[in-house]
Amino acid sequence: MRFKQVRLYLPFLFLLMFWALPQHSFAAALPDSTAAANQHQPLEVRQINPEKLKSLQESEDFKYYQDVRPDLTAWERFWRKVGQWLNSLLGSSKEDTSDSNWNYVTYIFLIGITVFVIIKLLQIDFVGLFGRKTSKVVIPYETYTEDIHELNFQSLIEEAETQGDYRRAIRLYYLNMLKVLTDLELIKWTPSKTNRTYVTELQNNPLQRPFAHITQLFEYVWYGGSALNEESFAAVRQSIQEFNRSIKAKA
Amino acid sequence: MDQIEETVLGLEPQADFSELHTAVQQIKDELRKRIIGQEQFIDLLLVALLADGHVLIEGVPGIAKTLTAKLIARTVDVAFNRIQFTPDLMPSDVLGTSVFHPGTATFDFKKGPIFSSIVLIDEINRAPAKTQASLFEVMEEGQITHDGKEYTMADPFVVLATQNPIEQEGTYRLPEAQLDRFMFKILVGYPSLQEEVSILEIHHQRPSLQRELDEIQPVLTSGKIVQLRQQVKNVHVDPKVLEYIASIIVQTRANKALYLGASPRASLALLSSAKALAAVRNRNFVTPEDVQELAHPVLRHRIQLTPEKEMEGATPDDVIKQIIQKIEVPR
Repeated sequence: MRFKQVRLYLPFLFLLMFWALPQHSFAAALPDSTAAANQHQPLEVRQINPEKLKSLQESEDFKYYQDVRPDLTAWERFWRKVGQWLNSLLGSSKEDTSDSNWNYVTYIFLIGITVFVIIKLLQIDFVGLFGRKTSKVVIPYETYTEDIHELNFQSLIEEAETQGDYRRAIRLYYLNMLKVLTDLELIKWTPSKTNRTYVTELQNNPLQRPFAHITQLFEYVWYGGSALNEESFAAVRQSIQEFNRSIKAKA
Repeated sequence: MDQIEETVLGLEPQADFSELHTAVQQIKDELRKRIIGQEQFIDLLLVALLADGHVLIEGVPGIAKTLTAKLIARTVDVAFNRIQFTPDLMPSDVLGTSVFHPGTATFDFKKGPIFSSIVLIDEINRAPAKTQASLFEVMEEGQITHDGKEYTMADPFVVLATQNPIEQEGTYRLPEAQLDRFMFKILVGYPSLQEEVSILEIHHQRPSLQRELDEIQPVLTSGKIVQLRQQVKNVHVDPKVLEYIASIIVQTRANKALYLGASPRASLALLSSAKALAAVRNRNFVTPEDVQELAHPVLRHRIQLTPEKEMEGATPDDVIKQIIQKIEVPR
């Protein structure tokens, strides 16, 4: 029971201690001399030093309101000069013309691109500066590019036969035959055509069959790589001469 | 060149291709049981078979690309496999893969469907580049390398690949390196009106067509093909014709209409195929005619047009034709 009565008084005891202790500590913290000084000396108002303030106001480090631009580089100075020159050409009197100058450069660039695209699309290759330059290919091999209308077959055949070059002689006989057929407008001579094309061009012509036979003989000799002896050469030559006679007869 | 003319010339024949010529005719006869028209297509397939080349067949669906390739394979008595290329196909699905055997604690290589003599790759351009790349080694060298070990293909080894035109949906453009490994790219067109009528008639009148298909007899064995290929190698090519081939190829590299010209592999393909074509025509030498005829299927997939030419609507065949027209035939 006594313990219960003590517990009833404990909150009051606690509040009493809480009130009494701060009073004691604040009184201990304030020295008596300071409190006295505060009571007897007037407050001193500190003034801003105008010289210091002026120096700070004039300092470049604190000029936030000005747009301080860095010095122009050589490249920028160049473009500024170009811009000024363009302005002088176009009659503009603005002094700071860097923006408009850049616009002009952009316009010129865009016009150039447009012209380039048009040239490419229209396949105009009059300068060859912009496109890939195709190198000329020299095909280093022996080509038989004689114009059959300029050759003197008579003498060339005689020469080949005299030398015993029967393959060449057969070739000349065949070319001569093509020339005759071309002159008679039975075939159309083009160097890139094959012999079989000429055979096809003689379609519905009675000469087609014998010409196909001669062509076969020529191809066997010329592309087949077989050496001809005098006897076989004579046989082929006879076939060709018979064909030539039949051409003349038809003509 | 027949025997009579050789006798007239008093020359001995350089090589006898009568056996090869007969075999080719027999194959054609077998194919005609089922295929209407497509003569040039069949000729080129046979030339590629004899020239040891792979063939890319392009055409719209439904024009008997796959059927013709299957029938060609059937007329030759060799192993045949078909691979349907799909977007999810992996290289191991084609080449093969290693399988672990727990009992022996070893890996065994399980060969893929590429291990065959004639391989039909259907719709090759439906697989992505990763799977296409797996074919590089096997198509060029006839072997694959797996886990450091080389596996050699059978002889003959021919890849017949079909593809739809690249404009079709769900297709990929084949890499240039792979295209270059095909000897020919054959464009298969629609049949003519008369051929279309014949197709309808044959299907209407012969209901047992599938059975007839099964009755197609093999004409050549693998050993015979190897033998015929050796014969083809003996076909004579005059130096002038060699120079003609070279000049066509060189011109593709300098043509302003082309971004990419033909490679030396194209020269070799043109040469070997021209020899095979001459042999098929029972001739023992190559003519410029053979070269001109094969220039289109050999070159059309190996050259690339410039963007400007593509915009104009030009095709590789147009440029090849122009190049041929510029070069004088050796005569």
